[in-house]
Amino acid sequence: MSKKITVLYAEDNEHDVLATERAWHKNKIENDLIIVRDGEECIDYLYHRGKYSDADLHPWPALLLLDLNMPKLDGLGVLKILFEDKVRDPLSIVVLTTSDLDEDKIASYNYGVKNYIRKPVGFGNFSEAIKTINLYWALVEAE
Amino acid sequence: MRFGTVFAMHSTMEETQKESAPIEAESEAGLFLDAILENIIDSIVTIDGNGIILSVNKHTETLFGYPRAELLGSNIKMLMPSPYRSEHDKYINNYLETGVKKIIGKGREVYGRNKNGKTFPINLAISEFVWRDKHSFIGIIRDITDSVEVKRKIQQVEELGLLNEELEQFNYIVSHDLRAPLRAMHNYADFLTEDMEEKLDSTDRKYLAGLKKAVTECNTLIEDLLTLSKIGRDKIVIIDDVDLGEILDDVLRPLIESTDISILKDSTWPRISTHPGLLKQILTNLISNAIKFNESNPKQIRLSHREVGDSAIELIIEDNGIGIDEKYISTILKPFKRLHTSEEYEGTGIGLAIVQKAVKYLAGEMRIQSAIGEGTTVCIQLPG
Repeated sequence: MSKKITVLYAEDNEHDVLATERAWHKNKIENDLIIVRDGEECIDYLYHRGKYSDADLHPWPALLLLDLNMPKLDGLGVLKILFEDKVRDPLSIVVLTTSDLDEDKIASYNYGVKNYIRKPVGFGNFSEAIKTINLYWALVEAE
Repeated sequence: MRFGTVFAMHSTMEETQKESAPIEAESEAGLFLDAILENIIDSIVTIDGNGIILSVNKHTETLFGYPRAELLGSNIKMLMPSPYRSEHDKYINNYLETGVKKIIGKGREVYGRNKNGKTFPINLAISEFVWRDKHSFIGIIRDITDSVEVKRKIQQVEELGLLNEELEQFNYIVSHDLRAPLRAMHNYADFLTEDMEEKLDSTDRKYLAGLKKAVTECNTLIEDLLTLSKIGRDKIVIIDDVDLGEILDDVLRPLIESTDISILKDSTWPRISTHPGLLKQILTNLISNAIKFNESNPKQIRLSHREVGDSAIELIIEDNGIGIDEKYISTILKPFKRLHTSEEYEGTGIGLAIVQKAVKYLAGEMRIQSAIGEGTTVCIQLPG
């Protein structure tokens, strides 16, 4: 049976966070959506550093929704760290784009990311994206 | 011919052998003068009325990188970059025919070209003299790469480069950061419309629709501005053998999908060398205008072409639309200039400015013929 996976969402834009939370709520998605607001916080979460040191409270996500344009460490910086550290557990990554700018796509493609969602994350484009990365089974909708 | 005397003289033609017989220095003073001219730190070149080099001094070899033997008897054009190169015969002929001195007798800043093809700024002073009954010219050439004025210009170019980079950064900010809040506004309006469905009355709905429309207009404006500023900053790569018919089909497909328009199109179209992206932009904007500013039933657009001269081609876009008052034709080519309110005809007023800029970058020309109620004809002439 399907196991409920956690989704980590790295996003500094409050409007996009709100829109994504709304999509979660509206579509009764039961997966936990954990929000981190910049690249450093994202890395802290994944490596159980600082306020995320308790690994039981902060489970490993199976999916990372990653905004590229963030303060401190940006999305490409996060990708670089994850790409170079090959010992981590499997983590599917979907990059969020604001436009169809090819340079962003090419840069993240170099870190092995092939999946994009054009922001904001809605139910439609989100379920489409996780379908393509074979995580569809992991999308839990409440009865 | 004796080298070292009058710093190497070239005999121009066989039949002038007598005329160009060795020029002997008649005295020690003559030899002394030769030595000065030969060793001076400016390049001194003499040419005849056909531009053939008669003599050069030592510094000419250093400055332009050609050995003396290669220079003597060659055309002076070899030391010039374009466009001076192709214009030079015209300069001399013009002077010899009209006697009007445009550049003779004064120094001016031009460019020289050395053997490696490198172009560098020079000060060129030309004076005329008659040698053996023929018009001849002396050029004194000084490399001014290191001069204060030139350095200032080079600095200006570098500063412009920096400004351009800043502008690109600005564009990036506009395209990313300015659009994000707009997108958020649009979303919130959507959320309210969705979530409050039963509670909203028709006025509320109208206000929310108005909010979304305003946001969309703002977004279109940003996109149009970005398109306008992008033209000319990206390198323009001209592609050969572009099928005009195919370009037109690509442009028409999305434009005529939703509207009832009759399109009359030439059955055959030539292939030209052009930048397909810019050409599509031009045609999209012009044909969109022909459809938008049109109240006829049916709307008619005629697309034709004709050849102009040997290699140019003219594209003609005619419509039966509302037309433009002749006195406003030059006005509407400027960014943001509109002749109607956005309730009458929506748009940002940048479309034709984009067309004009793109045509300029394709080395083309645009003409607009129109009158109120008479439709509009736009002719775009492009190099083949």
